[in-house]
Amino acid sequence: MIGPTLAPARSAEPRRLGLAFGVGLLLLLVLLSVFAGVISGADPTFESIEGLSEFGQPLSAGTEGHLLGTDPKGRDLLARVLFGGRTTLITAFTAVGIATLAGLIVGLLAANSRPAVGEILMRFTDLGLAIPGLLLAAAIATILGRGVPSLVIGLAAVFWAPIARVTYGQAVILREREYVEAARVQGAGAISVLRRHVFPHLLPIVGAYAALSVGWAVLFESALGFLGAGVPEPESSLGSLLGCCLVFYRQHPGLILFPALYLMLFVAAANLVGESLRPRAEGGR
Amino acid sequence: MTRYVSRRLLAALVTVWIVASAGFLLVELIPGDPARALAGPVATEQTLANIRSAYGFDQPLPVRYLNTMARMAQGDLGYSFSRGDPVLTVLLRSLPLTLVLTGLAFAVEVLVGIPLALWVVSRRGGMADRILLILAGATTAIPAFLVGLLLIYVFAFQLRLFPLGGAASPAAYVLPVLTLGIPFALVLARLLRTSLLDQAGQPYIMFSEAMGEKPWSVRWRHLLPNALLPLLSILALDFAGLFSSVAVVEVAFSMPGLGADLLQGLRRLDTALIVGVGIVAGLLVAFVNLIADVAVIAIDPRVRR
Repeated sequence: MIGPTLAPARSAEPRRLGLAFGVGLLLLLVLLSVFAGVISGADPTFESIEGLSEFGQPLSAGTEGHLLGTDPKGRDLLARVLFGGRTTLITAFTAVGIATLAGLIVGLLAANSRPAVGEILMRFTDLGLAIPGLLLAAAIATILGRGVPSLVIGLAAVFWAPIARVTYGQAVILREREYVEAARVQGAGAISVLRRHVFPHLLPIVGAYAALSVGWAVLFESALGFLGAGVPEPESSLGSLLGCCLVFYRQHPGLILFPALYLMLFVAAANLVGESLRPRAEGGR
Repeated sequence: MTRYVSRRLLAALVTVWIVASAGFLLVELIPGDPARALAGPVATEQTLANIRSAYGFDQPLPVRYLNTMARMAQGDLGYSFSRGDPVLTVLLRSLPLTLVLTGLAFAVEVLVGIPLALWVVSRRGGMADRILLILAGATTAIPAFLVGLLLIYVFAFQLRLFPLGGAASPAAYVLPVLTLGIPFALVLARLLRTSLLDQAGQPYIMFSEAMGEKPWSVRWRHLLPNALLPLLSILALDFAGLFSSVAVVEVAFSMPGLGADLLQGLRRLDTALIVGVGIVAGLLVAFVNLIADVAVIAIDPRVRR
C-alpha cells in the first residue's frame, strides 16, 4: 500500500532486461551530468546578447553554437539542461539516500523494540504517508530558503515514510523466520543478526522502493520548480527550467520540450530499475 | 462501528494537529527577526518592542506554541499579507474550485478506470491489455503539469476548442479534469486488473459461472466488489496524491484555487498562507481516509464485528 506506481509482477525474462536497460540509462545520465561542461562547451549561467535574435527572442534549436537554442536570457539551453540535470540528479539521490536511511532506521526500530514504541513509530509513519507530499516538500523547501539543501530536506521529509513502512513490514516477517530465530538461539548478537540475516533480505526490496523514490523525487523536484519553489536563478535544475519558461512556451516550445524530455529519461531510468528489482525481490523469497 | 469511527476521527484530528505544529515549527525556523521583517529596516527600537509585545514574539517558545494552537483551534489561521485578507477567508474563497476539480477528476478516475479494467481483463494478453500496461507505466514518468501544458497547446492554443485557462465557464474545466483524471484512471485500471485476475481464479466465481449466471453479471456483482475492496485504501491515498497534482494543474491552467494560493504563498514567502493550505489539505486527506475506512466497513461484512 505504497502508491499507484507499482507494476504487477511479470515474468523473469523482461525484468533482467529492464534492469540492465535502466541501469545503463542511469549510468549514461550520470556521465552526461559529470561531463555537462565538456559536452555543452558553454557556461550555463553566461547571459549574452549574442544568444538572442535581433528581436531579442531566444534562438531556436539547431542554431550554430547552440544545439538546443538559447533561453530568454540568451543562455545556452543545452548547457542549462545538462547542468540542470546534474542538480536534479544530485538533489534526488541525496534526498532519497537520506530518506532511505531514515526509513530503514525507523522501520527496523519499530519492528525490534517494545510494542508500544513500535506502535508510536508506525503511527507517525502513517501520518507521513497521509500528508500530501508535494505541499510538505514545497513548504519546507520555501520556508527554509530556496536552494538545493532545502529541496533535499523537503524531499527527504516526504520519501522516508513509505520506505519505513516497507522496512517495517519486511522486518516483522523476517523476525519470525526460523533461521533468524536459530541465529538468535545460538547466541548471535542483535547487530550480527541484523547484518547477516536481516539486511541481505531487506536490501533488495528497500533498494527497489528507493529506486522508485528517485523517480518520484525527480518528478517532485520538477513540480516544485514549476511552482517556483525550486533552485533560484541563475542556477538551473530540470524543475526550475520547466518553471521559468512558461510565458514563452507557446512561441518557443523547445524551452519546455527539451528539459521535459530529459526529465522523463531520469524518471524512466529510475522506474525501470525500481520495477525490475521489486518483483524479483518479492518473488525470490 | 461508532467506536471505530470516533477513533478514526480522533486520528484525523491528531493528523491536523501535527500538520499545524509542523507549520509552527517551520515558521520558527525562518532565520531573522520577524518584528524587523514586519516593521521594515528604518523602524526604531521602540516600534520593534511594540510589535514584539503586540504579536507575542517576546514570549517564550512554549507559550507562543500554545497561543498559536489556541488561535488555530478557533479557526484563526493568521493573516495573509500577500492576499491582503485573513488566511481563512482566502482559503474558503479558493476551496470550492479545488474541491470541484478534485471531485470531477476523481469521478473520471473511477468512471474510466473501473470499466477499463473490467474490459481489459475480459481479453487478457490482448492488444488493449498490453497498451494499458504500457500507458499506465508511461504516465508515472510524466509530470501532470506537462500533460496539462501539452493539452493547452494542442486543444486550446492550436485548435481553439477550449479556453486557455481560468475557470470562467464549464468548458474551462474539461482539460484540467482530463489532465488529472486520465493518468490516475490508467494507474487504477492497472491495479484493479491485477486484483481482478487474483479474484477470477476463486471458487465462488467458478461456482457462479457454473450456476449459469451471465458473464457480465458475474463480473459486476461478484468479481468487482471483491476486487475493489483491497483497493479502497489505495484509492484514499490516491486522493491525497490527486490533491497534490490538483495544486500543480491549477497553476498550469491558471485557475484560482488552493494551488494558486500555494503558488502565491511560495513566491511571496507568505508563510501563514502556506501553512494554511497545508492544514486544509491535511484536513481533507484525513476526511477522505475516514470515508474510505467507513466504506470498507459498509461493503465488507467481514470487517464488522
